[in-house]
Amino acid sequence: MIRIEVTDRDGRLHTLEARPHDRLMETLREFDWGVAAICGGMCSCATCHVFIDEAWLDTFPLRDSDELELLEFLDHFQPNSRLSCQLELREAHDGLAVTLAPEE
Amino acid sequence: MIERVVILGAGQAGAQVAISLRQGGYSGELVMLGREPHLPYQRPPLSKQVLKREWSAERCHLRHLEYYQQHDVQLRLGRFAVRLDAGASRVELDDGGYLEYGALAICTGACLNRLPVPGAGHGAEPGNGLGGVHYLRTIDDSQALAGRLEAGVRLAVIGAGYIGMEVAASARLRGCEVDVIEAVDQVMKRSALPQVARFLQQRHEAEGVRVHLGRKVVRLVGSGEVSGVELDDGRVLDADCVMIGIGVRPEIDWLHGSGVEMGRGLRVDETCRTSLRHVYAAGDVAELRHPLLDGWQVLESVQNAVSQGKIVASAILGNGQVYEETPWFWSEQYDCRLQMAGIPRAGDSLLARHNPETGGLSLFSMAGGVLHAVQSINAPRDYLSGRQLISQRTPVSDAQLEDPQFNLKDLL
Repeated sequence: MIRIEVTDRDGRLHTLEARPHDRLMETLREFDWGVAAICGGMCSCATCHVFIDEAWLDTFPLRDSDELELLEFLDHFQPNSRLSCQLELREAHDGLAVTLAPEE
Repeated sequence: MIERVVILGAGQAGAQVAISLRQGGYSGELVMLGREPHLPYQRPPLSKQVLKREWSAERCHLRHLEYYQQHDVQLRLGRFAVRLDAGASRVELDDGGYLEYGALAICTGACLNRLPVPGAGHGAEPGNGLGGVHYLRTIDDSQALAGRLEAGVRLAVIGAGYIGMEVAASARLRGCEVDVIEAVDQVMKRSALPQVARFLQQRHEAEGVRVHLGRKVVRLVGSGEVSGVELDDGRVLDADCVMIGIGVRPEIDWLHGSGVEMGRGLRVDETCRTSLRHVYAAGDVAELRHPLLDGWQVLESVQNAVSQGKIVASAILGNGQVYEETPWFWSEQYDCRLQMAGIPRAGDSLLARHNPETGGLSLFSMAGGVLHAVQSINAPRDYLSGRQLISQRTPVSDAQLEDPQFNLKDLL
C-alpha cells in the first residue's frame, strides 16, 4: 500500500492508503466526500476531476486528446487538471498530493 | 425516521441507492440483496475490457468490500425476492425467509430476451441449447465468453445492438472471425441515428467483420456444440461460437399480483416513487416519464441507473429531488468512442458536423431551433456542448451546428 494526501472540496486534508496499480479514481470514489466517477473509468463523464500537486505532475503519462477535450470543457479546468480514472498508481506515488476539483 | 431500507438488486442502481443514502446521512439499517454472488459491479466493461482480457472481474467492482463494511451496508448476495406483500410491508425471499421494510428500493434490473429458435435453448430453463451459445448480461457470462474468443475462432453475433456491436469489436481485436446478423435494416437502430450507425458499421467492415442486415436466424446448427447459424435465406454461416444479444426487458415478473402499477417496466413518478407507499424503483427495471421525453420510457443506461439511484435515496431521506437530467450514454468500438445525449424525436431534422482534422463526426437531431439529441463519434467537445444545449434548451441554428469552426460552447 502507498499513502496519498487528498484535499477534499471543503479544504480538509485526508491521508489515504491506496493500492498500487489501482487507478487513483478507484481510491477516491470509496469516500463519501470523494469523486462520483459515474462512467466507471471510461474517460466519458469527467466526474473524477482532480488537481495534481505541481511536484507530482510529471510522474504520470501525459493526457491523451480525449481526456484533454473533456477537461477543457470544464469550468474549473487548470493546467494541472487530470481525470483521476486515467491515472494508474505506482509504488513511486507514495506521498502523492492531489486536490479534488469542485463538482460541476 | 425509517428504521430499515431494503434494496433489491446489487447492480449499478442498487449500489447507488446505498451509497447516496449513507452520503445523505441515513443511519438506519440498510440491507441490499443481490441475485448474483458478486459484489456490485459495473456492466459496461463486460462487453469490452473483460472480453478483451484487459480488466479482471475485480476491477469491475463499484466499491471494495471494505466500503460496505465501513458504511454498514448488509450485503446478502445470492439472494433475491420472490414476492412483494406491500400490505404487510415485507418481501418474501427465495430461501423462504422474508424481510420487513420501512422503505423498499426495487433495482432488479433487466433480464435477457431469449432467441426462440431450435438450438438456442429457450423456454423457462435456458441452457438446454447447443454448447458454445452465449448470452451476455453478467460478469460470469462475460468471463465464459472471454474464454472462448481465441484467435481464429469463428464467432456469430446475433443482434446488432450495442452489446452485439461491442462484442463483435472485442472479438475482432482478439483475432476472431466475426459475422454479425441483424433482423432489421440498420445496426443499433433503436437509438443510433442512421448516419452514426452507418459510420460504425463501415468501421466494423473495414476491420473485417461481415455484417448481414435484414436477415433472421431460423436455427442454430450443430450436434452437442454449435457449428453454424442458419439464416432465413437458406444460407448457413459457419460458427464455433454464438453470442445472442437481442435486448432485455425489465425484471418485473415477480411483481405480478403485488398491486404495483406496471407497464413495460415498473412505473415511477419523477421522484422515483411507485404506486405503492414506501416502494421506489431505479435503473433498468423502472419505466418513467421525463420532461425531455415523450410518453413512458425505460432507459437502459449507467447514467439512468445512477441518477435514479440518487433520486430514490433523496426520496427516502425526504428531500424529494426530481429527475430531469438529460439522458446520456456511451459506447466504444475499436478506436471509436460514441457519446450520445438526449433522445431524437420523430419528425426531427438531422444535421451533421464533420471535423476533417480529427475525423470526428457529430449528428444533431432538432426541431424549431431546439436540440433534442446529439450523437458524436470521437468528438467529445460537440457532445459535451450538445448535452448542455439540450438540457438548457438553448436556441441554436443549423449553420452553427454544421460549422466545425464554430465553438458551440460560446452559446452556453
